[in-house]
Amino acid sequence: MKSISVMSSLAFLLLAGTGCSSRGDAVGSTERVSTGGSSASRLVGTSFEKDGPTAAWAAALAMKATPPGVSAAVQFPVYRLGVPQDPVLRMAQRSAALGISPSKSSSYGSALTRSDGDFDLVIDSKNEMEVWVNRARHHSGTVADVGTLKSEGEYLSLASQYVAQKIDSPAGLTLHPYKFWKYYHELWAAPGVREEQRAYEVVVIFNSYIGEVPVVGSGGKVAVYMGLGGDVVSHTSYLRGPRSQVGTASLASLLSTQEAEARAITQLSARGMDPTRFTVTRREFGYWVTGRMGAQKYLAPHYVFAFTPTREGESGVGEHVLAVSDPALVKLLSEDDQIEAEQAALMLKGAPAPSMK
Amino acid sequence: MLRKSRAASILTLLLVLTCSGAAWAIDYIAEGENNYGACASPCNQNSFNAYNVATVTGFTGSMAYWGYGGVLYTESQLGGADLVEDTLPGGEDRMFGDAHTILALATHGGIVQENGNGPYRHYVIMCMTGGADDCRPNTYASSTVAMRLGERCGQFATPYRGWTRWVTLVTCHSIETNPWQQWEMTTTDGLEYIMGFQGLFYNSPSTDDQLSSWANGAFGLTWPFAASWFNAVDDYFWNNVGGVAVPGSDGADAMIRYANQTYLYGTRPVCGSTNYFAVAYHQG
Repeated sequence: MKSISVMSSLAFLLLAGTGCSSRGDAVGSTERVSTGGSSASRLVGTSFEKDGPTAAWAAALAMKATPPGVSAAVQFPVYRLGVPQDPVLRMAQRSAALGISPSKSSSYGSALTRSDGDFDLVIDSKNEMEVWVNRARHHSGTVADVGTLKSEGEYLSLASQYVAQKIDSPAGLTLHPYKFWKYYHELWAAPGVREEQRAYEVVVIFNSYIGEVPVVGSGGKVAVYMGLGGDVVSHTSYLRGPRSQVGTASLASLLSTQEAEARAITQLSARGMDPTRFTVTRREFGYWVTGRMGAQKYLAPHYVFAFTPTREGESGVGEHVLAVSDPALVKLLSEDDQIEAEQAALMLKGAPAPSMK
Repeated sequence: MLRKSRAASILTLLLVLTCSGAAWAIDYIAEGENNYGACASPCNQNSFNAYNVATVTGFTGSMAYWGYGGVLYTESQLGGADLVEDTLPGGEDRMFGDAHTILALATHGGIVQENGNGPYRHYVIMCMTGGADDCRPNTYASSTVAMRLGERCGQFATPYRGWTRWVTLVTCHSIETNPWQQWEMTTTDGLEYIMGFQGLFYNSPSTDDQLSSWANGAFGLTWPFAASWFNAVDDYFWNNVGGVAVPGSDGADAMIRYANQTYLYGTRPVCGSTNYFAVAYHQG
């Protein structure tokens, strides 16, 4: 795991009171709970964790144990997610927070958009996913942005400040530095010679935790895109906090990693794929939050497995498996399986994507 | 073997030209393959994929929402000949893969050295087989199943020119580490913008909306293609690496086109002048 330094004053930024708590009047806010001991998300950590913690959980649970530093008495609450805020109200609030004037608004599907000059704000009304873009700068810096790449720690500091000031984070989540990507451009000429390679943009990605357990899946993330100088050119935020607890799973009651992997293989077969043509190359555990199309209702512990093909030229596949075994909870959480299946069916019918990123 | 109707393709194109107002000049062909097992040998040796068809159907839904029409082919309707240059024996790209502004493809793909020790080229897996209908059309310099897209001049523009300007390739290795070798032959006389992936691509229920999301950004918000592509395919969990490759007459031309290309941007003015590629991707 790569370790970086960051100013200690930024290591524990509290978002409460920074203007990010405008959701206080949101629908369902009185039902929100805080597992993090704060009225809003906290940002903690000084190094990019990547997949380390989620993989450590999966490795430990193979022995029905907890990772180092986590109590063996840990419990795994299952939550109902917060109800998305009224989309019109939310757009108004977020536009104000981000300095977007209501010059041009539109909507389609569940996405609302507002544009102001070079700036676009997109909010998905069904899950509050938010994308803000400076279209004149985002992935356009290859031409205009000649600068020096800063250190990972400097970008993390800048992104942390931005999250504290600009991102609306629900209570009950803790944000941890997750990944750091650098975007490059290259120029190639005949007969296949690379004449130039230059970084032009970076992104700092934060992952959310519920208590001591990280999120797995494409959601539960905040990504802050910056030019080389550290100016923010775009952000993507997909954070949904727990609203109320609907059950608890004990460590002993969870499926083991091996049991979950066997189920993942069964799922893979059920989708029509031959498991013998893949090897499992990632095993991770955490609270599952699906991607931008997601309209899931619950937060529950899951395993995630990456199946890597053994033949060249074929694609990898990801599978997630519910870790909870209590029949009553399994039945309740099957609502999310139904939602996912309905969305997949809509995509197959050629329905417009319900979200816009 | 079910084969798509040329008449249906032409009818759809006419409807697009007639009905979609300002968007009349842009249309697409979308092709996705899940069930390789139902294809003829050797295409049937490839592993089933649960997400490619949804990827392209979602794309067609978004394009329809924004007022653009096109044609959709899936499963056994995909033929290698769809992408094979029509001047080659059996090639039919003038009716399919090279007959529309956008080629959106979701299937398996890879890199291979031409003749075993030559430059690294790209190939995609289609469904049918036999002659030019081979299931692995490629970007070789010399091949019976070579892809040449969007040619508006040069030897492949006669008797039928190509119309493809932009391609989105949800395949593994579509933008690899030597894009010049991969795409020089295919882009020489017209193709303007290639969006794809570096390395292995992981599918999951949260990745099959990527083409539709690209369409939403590119045509709904008029975002530049690159920004829209990376916003659509940046998946922070699965670590898929999106890539873009853009040919140009010189380095500056390629870079400007990379950064500024929107669906409103004009066509490349010069034929036969792919002297540079601008490429973008992320590391980390």
